[in-house]
Amino acid sequence: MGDTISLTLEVWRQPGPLAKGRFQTYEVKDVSQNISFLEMLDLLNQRLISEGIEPVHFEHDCREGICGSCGFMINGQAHGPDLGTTVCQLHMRRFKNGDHLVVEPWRARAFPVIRDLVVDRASLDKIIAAGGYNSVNCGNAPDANAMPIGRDTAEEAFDAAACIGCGACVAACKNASAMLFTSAKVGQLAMLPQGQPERSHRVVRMYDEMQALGFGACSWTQDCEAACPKEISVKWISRAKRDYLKARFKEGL
Amino acid sequence: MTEQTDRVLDGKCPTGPLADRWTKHKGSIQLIGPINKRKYHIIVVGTGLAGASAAATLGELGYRVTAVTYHDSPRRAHSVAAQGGINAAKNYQNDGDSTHRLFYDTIKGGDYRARESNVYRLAEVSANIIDQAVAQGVPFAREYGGALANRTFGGVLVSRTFYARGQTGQQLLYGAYSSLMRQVDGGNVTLLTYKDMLDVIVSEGEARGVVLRDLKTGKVDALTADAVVLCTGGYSNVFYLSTNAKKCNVTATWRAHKKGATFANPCYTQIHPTCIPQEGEDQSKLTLMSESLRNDGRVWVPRKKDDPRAPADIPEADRYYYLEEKYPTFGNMVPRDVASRNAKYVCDDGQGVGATKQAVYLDFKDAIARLGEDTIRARYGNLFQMYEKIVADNPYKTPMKIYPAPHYSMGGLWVDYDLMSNLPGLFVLGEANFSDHGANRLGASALMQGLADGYFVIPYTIGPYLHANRARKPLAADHPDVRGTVEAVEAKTKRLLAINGKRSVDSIHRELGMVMLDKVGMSRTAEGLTEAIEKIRALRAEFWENVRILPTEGDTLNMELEKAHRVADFLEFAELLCHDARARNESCGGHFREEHQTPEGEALRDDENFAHVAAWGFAGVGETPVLHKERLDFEFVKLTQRSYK
Amino acid sequence: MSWLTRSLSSFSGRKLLAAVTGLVLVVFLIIHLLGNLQIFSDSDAFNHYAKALHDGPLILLGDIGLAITFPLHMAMVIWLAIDNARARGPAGYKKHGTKQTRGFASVLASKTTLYGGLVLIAFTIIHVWHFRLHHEEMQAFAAGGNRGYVIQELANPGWGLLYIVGSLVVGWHIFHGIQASFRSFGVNHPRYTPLIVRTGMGLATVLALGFAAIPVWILLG
Repeated sequence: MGDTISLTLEVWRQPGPLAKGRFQTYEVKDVSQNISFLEMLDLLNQRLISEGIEPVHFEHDCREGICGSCGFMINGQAHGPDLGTTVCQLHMRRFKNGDHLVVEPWRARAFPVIRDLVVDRASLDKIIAAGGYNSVNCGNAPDANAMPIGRDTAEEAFDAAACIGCGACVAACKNASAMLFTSAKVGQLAMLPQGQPERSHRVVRMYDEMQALGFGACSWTQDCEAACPKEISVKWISRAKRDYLKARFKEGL
Repeated sequence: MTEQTDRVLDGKCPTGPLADRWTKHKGSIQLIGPINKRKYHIIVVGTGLAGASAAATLGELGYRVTAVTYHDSPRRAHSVAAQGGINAAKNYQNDGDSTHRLFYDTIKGGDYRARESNVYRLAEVSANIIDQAVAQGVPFAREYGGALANRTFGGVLVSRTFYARGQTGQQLLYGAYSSLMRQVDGGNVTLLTYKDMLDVIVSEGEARGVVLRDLKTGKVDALTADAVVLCTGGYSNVFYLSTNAKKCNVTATWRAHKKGATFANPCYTQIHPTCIPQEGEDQSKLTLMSESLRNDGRVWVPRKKDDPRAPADIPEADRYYYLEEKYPTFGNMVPRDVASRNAKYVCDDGQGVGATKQAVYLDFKDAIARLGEDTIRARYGNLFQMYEKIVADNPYKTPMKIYPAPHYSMGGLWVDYDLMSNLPGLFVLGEANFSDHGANRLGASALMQGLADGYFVIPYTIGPYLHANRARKPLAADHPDVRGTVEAVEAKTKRLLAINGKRSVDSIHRELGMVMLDKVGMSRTAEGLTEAIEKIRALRAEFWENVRILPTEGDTLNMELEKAHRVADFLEFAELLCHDARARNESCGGHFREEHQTPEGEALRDDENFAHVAAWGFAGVGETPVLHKERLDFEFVKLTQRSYK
Repeated sequence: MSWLTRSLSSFSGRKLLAAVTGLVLVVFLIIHLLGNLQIFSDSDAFNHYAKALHDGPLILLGDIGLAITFPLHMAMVIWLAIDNARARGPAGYKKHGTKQTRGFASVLASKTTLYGGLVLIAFTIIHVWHFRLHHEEMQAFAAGGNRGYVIQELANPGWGLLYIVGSLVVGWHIFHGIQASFRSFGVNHPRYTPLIVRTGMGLATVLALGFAAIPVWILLG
């Protein structure tokens, strides 16, 4: 099944956070089209190690598109050309023999490069820590069926909750904004009755934290939605924004 | 082989009526006042379901907690990948479920190799987990009327599994993670990311802290505390190709083991029946397809060997629905070990399908005809999509091809009823411990156990140990036992970097995996295990002579070095797994010894000689480990030959 | 920081101000175009309109309104643009791409709104100097008053071309700007939002073509 192809990769190499980086070109020969992009990089790394060259560092873990660890730009596209796909689920059958691919890390002030294609996304955790939760202590939850939640509501909340925190939205945004990431969490909790008590405070804190961490604002280019491997809609940005304005200007928070 | 029946293996289970034991135990536990809780520092290693829930809940209680993960964020832990669901004895479906039935199903599913007290407690708190998750905002599947929906899973006859599409683990983890981040926000929990735990600090026989290596800077530091809680997951990656994430490893538990914690039942590994078969040499991991697919999918192979026809062209009469034929009551919903073993049997018989002949069909044709494609899409859309992405084949049109793959490890560090290992001060939760699943885990029970341990057990059971040692302060950084442990880790790192041989870490890991899958996988023999031990020893020697780690410095991110630490431990641990498998002269659950089977090829237990937990003490690398036994007494269930027919 | 400065300096607050002022400016453009279109009439309608406008209180109101909204709009947008540029960090991308499947024009417009706006600043300064500050002269213009003056100026190919370009840039700027403004208010609806998007784009097109029609008509004689 499938043929083998050869590619030219232009990969960002940067030995450490403070080191100067540069692009390095590698030829990759005769890789099966059935393997994933990361497995292709594995092969490259095996070869590099055997040649005594430091392997290309990239973040990865589950390799089934759910942990959110992996992600970099391939020819200017976050997670590569496929829609709704993390780079670990991107297969080489998507490429043609002789393709020239530029592979770069996520670029954002809030995502400093650690090494090669690995960036530090701790800022996303900080946004969640700024209220991206329901304040409910273990033990004081009412019966799960005590509060009926319509199927459509639950499903829609899930659409937002599906965010894997990979950072592709930030990377793809011309403003390096984390609006989609932040708004998806705001929106998920705002959909559900359990999220109501803290709804206004949550959105104000999370939005302000996002801004303070050095992410940009939303210019509504919608590149985030297109880059999102979980295809989270930009509608969540509108909704969260309305919550923010309401909290700020109506409720005076 | 040395055998001991040791006092350290008293599980300290409460006595009396099963249903009252946990309540009674909680009632007798020494409480710590809210003001005093601040004085205790607890380290929680790992931020999966067990770790995140434990750290969050201990933080809520007021303890000072440090949560440690080697990921960039707690949300990456591999619990995130659990697909199908979480069990709870809510009986929302009015189909006869109860705490006792969940307890019974779990004990039976585990082939009677788990503690009754633990399993009953698990079943008892299961309902609270669902309440807690819903309160956190976990968007479980719902009926139109707004009530929670359920589905059924393998090995049971009720619908008690709660789910969030095919991403239940993700949603539950994010729930626990949000509670954890709330505690970080509130200052009760300190979160350390990019820190790899490389040793436990043991002083005067008690666990007093851990040694962490900062993955970004390579700096090795000690972190001391009043108690250490390991929630570091399972060891399926000893098989190299597994459904586990690439970074999952045995290092934390293995190094604790080397410091004195006994490792229980390492041979209980679960090979999950529904995974995407291996495609080629370069494959880096295997992908699970949720067991929930067996709700609607029918498993079959062509009756004829090497049938060249496309699956759609094979008429009903020529299809062998082997699970339905052999197990009419449970059919496709038999437990995982049974489903996996039968897939292996038909493939061994030459009836396998696909290029490698190492696959069986999972067919949705009938379900689509009955329910319509839209319903199937609503139930399994993301799984079908994932399959199509990987295999480039449309499962709505042609049956999926599946094959078993290593998935979960029931074995782990031995713990007592309080989840404390035999090393005082070292608690072990979730997949990392051995406790609740016995020899086989039923589907949707891992999420349940991880969260039960973290949310509802450890917050109570850690108290007595802390209280007993209230007069003690955490060790100072310059304490000889602290310094010594740090220096040992630094020395080991240096040693690894200095080998500078020819082979990559991955190539050795892959070779280890092939040995393990071949000799210690779905079926095992004494002879094969002995052979495996020899091969593992040779490979370990090869590793320490010939591995090559680049970059050769350890002061920046160095993923090859991280892997080398982990593979070094797998190479030691694999041997223990073989020892345990060889010593357990019976078949039970996921541990199948070819010498011990019924005429129909089912696992044949030997309750007289093996109704015990085999917990191993470390005797040195390459030395025969020391066996300790904990007898399993069954007061409430009758041990029978498991039957799913 | 007080509640007000905190609220208004937040991204969403700045966006809100930019959106409100932007929409006010769009309303101004509509009125402006309706007035301008009278130039096509051969009668004195245009001159009467100009005279009535400048004799009445409306012009003062307009001037004050524009003097507030225009700089405020600019200030908010530029302030955001500075933060946005900083957010990318020290290194940018070597290769740019998108994964959007929306229309090419929509995507391009959304990414170049700011640049359109910068061009418009220059254009507006020129335009205000060119006509608004020469108002007395225009009204007294012997060969046809205001209308004659405009026709004379735009018949010059240089000026004519500049106004055509200016008109198109205005359209381009608000092609994305109108719908983005509604987004900044947090408007989101499965039915109405697509309507707003289409109306916004349609309005932008009409305004661009409407304004551009005048110099085109004059240049073609």
